[in-house]
Amino acid sequence: MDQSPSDIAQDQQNIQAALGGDQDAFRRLVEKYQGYLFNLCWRVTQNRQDASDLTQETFLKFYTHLKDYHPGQKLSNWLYTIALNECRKQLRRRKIVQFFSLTDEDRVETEAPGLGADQKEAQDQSQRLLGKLVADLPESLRTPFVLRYFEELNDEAIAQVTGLSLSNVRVRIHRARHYLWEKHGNLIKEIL
Amino acid sequence: MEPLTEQQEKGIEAYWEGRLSPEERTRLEKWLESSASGRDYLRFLEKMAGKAKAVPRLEPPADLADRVMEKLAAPPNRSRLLGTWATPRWGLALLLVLLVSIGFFYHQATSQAPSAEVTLNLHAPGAKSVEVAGDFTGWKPAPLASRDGWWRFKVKLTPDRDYQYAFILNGNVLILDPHQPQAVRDRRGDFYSVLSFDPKDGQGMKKISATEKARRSGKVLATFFSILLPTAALADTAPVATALSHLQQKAEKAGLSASQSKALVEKAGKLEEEGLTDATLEALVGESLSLGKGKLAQKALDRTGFLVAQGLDAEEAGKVALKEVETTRKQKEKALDQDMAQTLASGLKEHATTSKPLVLTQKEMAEKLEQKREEWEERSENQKRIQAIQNDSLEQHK
Repeated sequence: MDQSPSDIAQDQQNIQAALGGDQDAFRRLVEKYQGYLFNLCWRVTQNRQDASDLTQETFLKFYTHLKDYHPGQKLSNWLYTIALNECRKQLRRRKIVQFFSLTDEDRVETEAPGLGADQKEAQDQSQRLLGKLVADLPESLRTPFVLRYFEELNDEAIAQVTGLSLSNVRVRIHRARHYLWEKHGNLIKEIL
Repeated sequence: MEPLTEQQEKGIEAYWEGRLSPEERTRLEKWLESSASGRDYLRFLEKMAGKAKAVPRLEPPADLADRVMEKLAAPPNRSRLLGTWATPRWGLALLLVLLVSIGFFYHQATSQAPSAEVTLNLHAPGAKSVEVAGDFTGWKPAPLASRDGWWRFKVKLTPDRDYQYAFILNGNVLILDPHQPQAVRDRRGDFYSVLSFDPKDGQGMKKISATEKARRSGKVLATFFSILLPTAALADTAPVATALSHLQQKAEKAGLSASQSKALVEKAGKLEEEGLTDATLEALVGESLSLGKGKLAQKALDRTGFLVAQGLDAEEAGKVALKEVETTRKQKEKALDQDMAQTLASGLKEHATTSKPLVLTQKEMAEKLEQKREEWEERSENQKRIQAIQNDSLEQHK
């Protein structure tokens, strides 16, 4: 996400105030970033309930570590890092649950369940296809892909957020594209 | 329509992302005019980005901010809890639950400790000494224990980052780990093995355990091993003559003269006699030929011979050389950002060299390890922040 210098300064003010015990200042930060984090968690976990819980958990972690925030650091990137870490843990837990589950509980939602009727109409067929394609990506490729395409982060920011090297980020994004093109090329040509 | 190669796809991506120079752009655009597949792929990139931007964002639950603030405000109500449980009958049950919980959390704390034991192995029956230097030793040489020609080193690592390392033969020859599929070429042009752990699929762990199994079971597991590490292809059993004649055909097909091909096959024959498997030999020569025609293949075989002379097992030596050639290829692909259009137009140019000389004086070795240690500290510093957050999150979770 793009942030202007005044945006960054405002974040720093709110963090300072929150450190001083101002709960309203922290709430302003939650309200500002909850949409980004919720969408990121939803894209990565493909489950709305998980996304809601993980966003909440991210803010609680963020609050605990407020004092570690370095002025000048981009807050959104820091929050993305915490959120992705929470998502990773959730996906690991889910794998364990699925392993022990006798019924194959399908918790993956490839269409946006939270959309209102108007939004659903607006979401044309190609956008739904894109959602399904993202869901089909292996987890290791999905995260960089989502950060690039849906959160519009550049390679350097993705590397910072995920802890991957720059070249690894580029390789994963290339692999994600290649995967989609090779597996769904015909469908994509037809619909996108 | 012809399918695109990986390099072509990467080149189009670099073009679309604006990472090519004006000259390269012009050349790629010219190539695109004649490639329908290329144009299709470019259209796919453009459309995908456009559609992703247009996908409406989900609204988070309306009460999400309230829930966060409530959680922050609400301290745990301990007195109420104690009031409910503070009876003799429940007291015993509570004690039992506490004991079980302590045991459980102790187990969690120990089993989820962020470290993994990794064993590095090297088959070097003729070597006088083998050491390892890497991020995990602070780039100070640590000796490997030797048994039956195998050298072994155990180390505990936190699986949340990549580790660079190399083996040192006889105190002065720096080599890659032949069992490690990943390698990098650093900014000074030297090769190092990379041990990485993917937190999602635990790849690093898998590769190491396969290495260990192969070491223990020898050729019995060769087929299994070759599935995990296709480039190593340990399981090939083609007769020597067939393999060498394949090499000769490959060399001639790659444009080498009859005398060059003959010289190559002679070197290959000697290495086979030393115990280099046909599969590794073919992979080594094939990969070198595809990159740099005859010179690189000759060099790769010379390197293998040199390492054998240092006491390394022939197969291990072949794999070290193969790894270097593969790393060169990967580096070449990375350089595609700058060189894409030319590559598309004329194919890969001959690569100048596989690597810098491996043999170092004592002073040079000490300097190199010092440089690597500084580089490691620099990388660690960069990752420190993210690391701290991840570790803290883990502790919170516990």
